[in-house]
Amino acid sequence: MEWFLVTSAAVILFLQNYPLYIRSVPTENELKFHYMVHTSLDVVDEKISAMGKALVDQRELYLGLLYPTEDYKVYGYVTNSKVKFVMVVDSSNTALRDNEIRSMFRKLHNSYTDVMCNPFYNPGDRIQSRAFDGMVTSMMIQVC
Amino acid sequence: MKSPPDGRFPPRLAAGGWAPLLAQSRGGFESLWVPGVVSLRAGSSGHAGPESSYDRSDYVQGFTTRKKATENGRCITKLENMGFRVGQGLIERFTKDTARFKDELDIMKFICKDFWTTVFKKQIDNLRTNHQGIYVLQDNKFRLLTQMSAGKQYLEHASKYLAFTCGLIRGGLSNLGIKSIVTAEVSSMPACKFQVMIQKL
Repeated sequence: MEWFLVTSAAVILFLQNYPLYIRSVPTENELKFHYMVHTSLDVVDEKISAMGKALVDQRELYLGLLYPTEDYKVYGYVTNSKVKFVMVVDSSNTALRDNEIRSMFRKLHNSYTDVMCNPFYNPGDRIQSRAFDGMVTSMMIQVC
Repeated sequence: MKSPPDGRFPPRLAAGGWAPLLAQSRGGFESLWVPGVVSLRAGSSGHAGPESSYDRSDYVQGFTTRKKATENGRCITKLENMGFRVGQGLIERFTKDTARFKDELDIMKFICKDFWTTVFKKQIDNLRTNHQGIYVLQDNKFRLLTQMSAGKQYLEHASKYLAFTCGLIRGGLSNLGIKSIVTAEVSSMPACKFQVMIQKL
């Protein structure tokens, strides 16, 4: 599942590398962000498989910075149900520390859980939830 | 109690009033729809009558139980599917703040401890595995069965109460990336065993 937030930030959520939710700001450069996020999925997989052997305190859901590019930073997060969250932010935005990113992912995860617990949502479908959209929008506004 | 006059069965008198009506209509039903039985009974010697009517009731019973069985099976499947979806949602919530699972056994332990405690307010009493993808979860006092009389009397009804829980386990595991088949087994009432067969890809 893939999630993608851009603004110079983008958020994407994936399940089994199939996108569940994509959102980016500004919208005109969407393809570039898609490309970046899909590229990062390999890094996510790599990190997960390496983590299986790691110590308990290192088995966190938040994966940290996946890789930096010239203009953007890509962060990853994987839930226990193997849903991948990927976030792309502008690297010129220095206000975003690791901790802020982590708490953003937590918020995202909380909202995703609410979506999952909605009986009218079929797991694996694209997420079309107003509450979820609202949360992402507020997060992006804060970021941009 | 005096039986009410014919043709008037106010609802309040139902207990006294309906019984004769039912008996009457059943008699009418028989003579109307199965003349063969009636004529056999009347026309031939002693045992032919009772035997054929026995055959018929046997057939009817067989038919109704078969119908009931398919109906029952459908209900159980439905309950299981409902449990599956609920399990998916619950596990998403419960694993939100836990560390990533190390392996399959780690996940089963989570189901037995945290998941079971949250849902049934107690842990699984015994978890066994053959290390080849089969896990047996034993609960000696399963919550949904404690309200029923202990012993073997209502054993046949237990499946209805276990279907949802089987789905719950299956849904939870599937959301954590493990495909499985879950079956339940009761030998004496409040205790029950869930067998989880992991489907290897």
